[in-house]
Amino acid sequence: MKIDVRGIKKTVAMLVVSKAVVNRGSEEGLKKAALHVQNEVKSSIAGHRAEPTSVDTGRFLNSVDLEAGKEEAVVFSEVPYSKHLELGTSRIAPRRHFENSKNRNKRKIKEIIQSSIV
Amino acid sequence: MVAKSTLLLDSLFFIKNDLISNITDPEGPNRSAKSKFVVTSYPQRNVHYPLITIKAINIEALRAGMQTTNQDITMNFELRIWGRNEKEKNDLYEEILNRLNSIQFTASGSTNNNLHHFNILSSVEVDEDGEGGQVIKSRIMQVQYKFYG
Repeated sequence: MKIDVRGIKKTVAMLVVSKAVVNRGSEEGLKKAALHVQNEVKSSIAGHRAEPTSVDTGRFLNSVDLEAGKEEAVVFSEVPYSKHLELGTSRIAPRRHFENSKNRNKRKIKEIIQSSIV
Repeated sequence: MVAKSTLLLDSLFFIKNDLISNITDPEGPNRSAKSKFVVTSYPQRNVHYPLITIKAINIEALRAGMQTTNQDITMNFELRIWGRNEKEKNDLYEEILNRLNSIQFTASGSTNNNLHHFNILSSVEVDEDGEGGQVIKSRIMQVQYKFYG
């Protein structure tokens, strides 16, 4: 018995093209998702979400930045007291702007990346 | 045993009771009757360090199938170790880490109490100046358990 498998080269070529399309789409989607999360964190800090507002001079709010690469995006703040606001201290309750924004938007992040790939 | 109807309460108390029974309180007999070593909320009154606070910070529940009300539930807990110095904080952290890891598959451990798939997601340090010049050291351990039901 002999089995002929046809179209392998075409399939491989198609997969190579698809890979490039998926990679491009996912990188773009990651940037869009990171922007979305950045906006969500800022909204949280401004008091437009469930968390109490953490705005006084606006330094913390304006410090929320993002870095997006090919496979990872980070939304962060480099203000020294951001850790204390996020995680709390012995005198203030945690505000969890970043953690809660991430948890609320997990599904949305997936949707944004998926829609950028398809 | 952690039950679906009292999921949060049972989970918090499982962790709390296990830590109370098995983690050595550095203050021991010196701790006042009004002060607790392990609590499930941030205390409103003055506290006696060291202290461990446990809070549930996120719960996700995904449907386990189309024809069932069962869910795959993922719970994230924050265990915060508050110490008076670096060594106290680190020693307590390691003791808790080893304890929770070692009781996963014991007879009365987490898996037999329906808390599965123990993972440590992060351990972050937050130090601050306390009152009267005291420095308060804290390490926040985020752990995850899964529940099915």
